[in-house]
Amino acid sequence: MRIFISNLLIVLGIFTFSACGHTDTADEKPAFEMTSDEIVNEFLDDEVASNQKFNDQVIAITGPVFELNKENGKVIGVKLSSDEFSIVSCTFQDPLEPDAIGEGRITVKGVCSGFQGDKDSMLPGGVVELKRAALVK
Amino acid sequence: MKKTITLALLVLGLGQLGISQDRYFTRDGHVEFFSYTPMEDIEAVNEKMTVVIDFETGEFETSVLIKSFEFEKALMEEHFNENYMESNEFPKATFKGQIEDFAGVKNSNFPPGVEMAAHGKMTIHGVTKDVILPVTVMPNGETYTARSAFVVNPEDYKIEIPNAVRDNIAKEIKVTIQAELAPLKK
Repeated sequence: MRIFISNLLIVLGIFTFSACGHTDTADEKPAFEMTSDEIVNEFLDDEVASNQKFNDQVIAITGPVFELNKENGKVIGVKLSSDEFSIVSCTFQDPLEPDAIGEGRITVKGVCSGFQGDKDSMLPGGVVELKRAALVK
Repeated sequence: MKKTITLALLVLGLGQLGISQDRYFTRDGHVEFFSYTPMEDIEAVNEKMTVVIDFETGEFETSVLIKSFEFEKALMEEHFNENYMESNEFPKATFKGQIEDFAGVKNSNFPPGVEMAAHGKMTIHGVTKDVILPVTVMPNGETYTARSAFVVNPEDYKIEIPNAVRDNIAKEIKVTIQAELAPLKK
């Protein structure tokens, strides 16, 4: 009976909320504010603890623009880094106009998905990923 | 003689800079999966797959953060991470292996679009299986385009689907990968 009720609640949950989209990150207050170097170094120091601390949190990151990712003439993402192998990679919730991001340091907030990096990998360094990001300044 | 010296200096210069043409990579690979059932279609996209190929040895690696998959509906994404993939415990899906008969890919006479077999270990949800992935690698100017398409059975990776939604999720999930690989500068 308990299993039946639990399953019923899951189904009801799906039908009730299945139309809901994601919250707008631009309206969210960041849980942490730090530089791109600081967050990458925290993950490099202790990936497990950093996953627990940062994942699913809205984080505001300030850093130098390393690379813009463009699609159909719009900016869909940006990489912040002062070192080509230690990067914060942000995917924007809403694509930006090409001139929205200038050169130099910018601040982006987004939801942290975790860290890509493996000492046994052929690819050195590591990347902290932010999804549903928004440009702060 | 002058040409030889120039060439030698160029080679030495590249060596000094540590530029290697052996490995090609991206951190912006596209991976998507699709589940079709008569009840519901479910798809998710991740534009942040890491892909590396060593063109000397044919070694092939991919890695993706589970939490970076984006769904149209927030609740689907939440269920995917919390109930099925348990992404706090198992944050990544990876493949590490070797592409067979890869040596000729950089030769200009290598026929484009030839499907090769990548033998290796795929880890999803903390479970590692020996798999063979079909891979094509085609030159595209200075870069190479790598593609793969395969099927994943959630049961093989101990991904438990509750009875209540079993009819909504396909037994075989179609996965497609596309990546533009640039030379890795060490």
